[in-house]
Amino acid sequence: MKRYLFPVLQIIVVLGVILSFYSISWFGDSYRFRAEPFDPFNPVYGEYVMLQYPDLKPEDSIQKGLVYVTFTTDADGYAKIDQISNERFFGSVAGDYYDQYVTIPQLTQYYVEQGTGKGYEDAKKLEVKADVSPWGTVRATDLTVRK
Amino acid sequence: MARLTKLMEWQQAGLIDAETTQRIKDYETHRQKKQRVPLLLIIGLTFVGLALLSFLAANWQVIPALIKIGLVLVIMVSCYVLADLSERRTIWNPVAFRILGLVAFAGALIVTVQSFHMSMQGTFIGWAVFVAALAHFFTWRHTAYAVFAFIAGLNIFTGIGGFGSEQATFLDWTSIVFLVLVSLAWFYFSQSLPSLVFSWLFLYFSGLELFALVSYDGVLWPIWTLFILVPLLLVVKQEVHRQFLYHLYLVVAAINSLVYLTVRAETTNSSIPWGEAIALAIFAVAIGYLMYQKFRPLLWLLPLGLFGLLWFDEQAILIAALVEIIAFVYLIEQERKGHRLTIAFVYFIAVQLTIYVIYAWDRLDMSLFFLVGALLVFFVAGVLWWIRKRREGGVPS
Repeated sequence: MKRYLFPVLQIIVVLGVILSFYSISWFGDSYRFRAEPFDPFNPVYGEYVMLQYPDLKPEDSIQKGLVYVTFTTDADGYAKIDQISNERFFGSVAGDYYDQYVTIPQLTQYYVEQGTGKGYEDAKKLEVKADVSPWGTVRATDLTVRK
Repeated sequence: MARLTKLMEWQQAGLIDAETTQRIKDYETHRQKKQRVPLLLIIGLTFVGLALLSFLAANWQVIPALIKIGLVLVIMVSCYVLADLSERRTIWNPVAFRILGLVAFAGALIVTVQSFHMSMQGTFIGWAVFVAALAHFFTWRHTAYAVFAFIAGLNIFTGIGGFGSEQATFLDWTSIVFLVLVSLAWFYFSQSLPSLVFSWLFLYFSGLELFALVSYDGVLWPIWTLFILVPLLLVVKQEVHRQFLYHLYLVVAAINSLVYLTVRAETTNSSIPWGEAIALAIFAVAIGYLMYQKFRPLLWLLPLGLFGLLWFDEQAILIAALVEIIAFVYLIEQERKGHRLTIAFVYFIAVQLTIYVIYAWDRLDMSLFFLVGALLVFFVAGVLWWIRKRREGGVPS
């Protein structure tokens, strides 16, 4: 039985990862983020668009470096920062604050169909739909051109 | 057929008897029959495989995420089934199939993360593959799994510290603590050669990684780590392995000495607090006592303990002198004891070259002349020594 223990365990690990990703959507809230592309990048891993978020601009009191944020929806229906702090707090998402915007690692790259990356980069005005779980993980679900 | 004619000729010439000729004929015809079928089968299967792969590749983008992941998992499971088959029937190589299975596991995780648009940063995938490969190693005890675990584990180091963030997170700390614990366990429970070296290197890299994680910008981290790892030799059970690990310590120490020498000579604004330098020297004395009692060959590491104290000299002349003396004394000592001279000789040359590059770079045109001369002298000395050894009848080392 030992021979097949490894494939079984490894399948369980992969299933666990898939479940953890889905549970973000099951238990979390959905937001729409205004996004714009930067830094075209196309490594061996596959084609993806690098994204930054102009709405995620913290107030001056926040120090550069590691930040923790929660989101809320503004009048236009797009996500904006609700609470932000340099200290971890319950339900917050970890991100980096450098240059001028807050970057959430899970939202900085979005894999797209081969050959469509350039189209998104030229469109400039993009929109990302993402689910945010109560325990502070983020999962991007859709990338579209903003109307 | 040419072979059969030749056989007849040999038989007629009386070189081989009729019975042998018949046995050779039987063997050859039997062998050819056996080969014919699998060859066609292999060619056919290759084409089917290629067709399948190109079909998948062409449609990869539109395949739903779960099916993509499922496909890779099916490949993974079939690798393990083939491994099992090859083990039972003793054909092919079960280890190769299990390694492919591990590669497919890593592939499944990467495809999963990509399909769900999650970030590739962090150490999770590195950890999952590392632990799986290590578990394979401890189950089947084959070197190939150790090599795979080592490569997978290196990915953890590049993931720790977080891309773009300067502060270490709780996750980074957890990762490094577990890495140290797992490497210690690997070192202790494997007690076979490549594994001892791999796990030792992981422990050493963990020490260096701490440098990136804590906010204290010390220069002496690598030396501290090397000294702290000396008592680890106490748990090595076989003397042969311990002798081999001595070389590892010495080589790492040699590389360290040259890097420190170069860094000190080329920078002007780095400083070490006297407190830390003195603490390192005292620690070196304590570790030196242990070496003196148990591991004499490692006493050559001790001069590294003085580097902190000698750091104040911006021209690095003191460090250069220390390194030069150690390299020379080490070479002579090894020669006197009749040990292998390879490491000692390479180190001696490396020290000369480093010092040369550091101090003579600005006067390169003139110094190149001497450098070429020096290298020629080394070369001639080496050749003469080798010839002498051969004449004496000893085995040149």
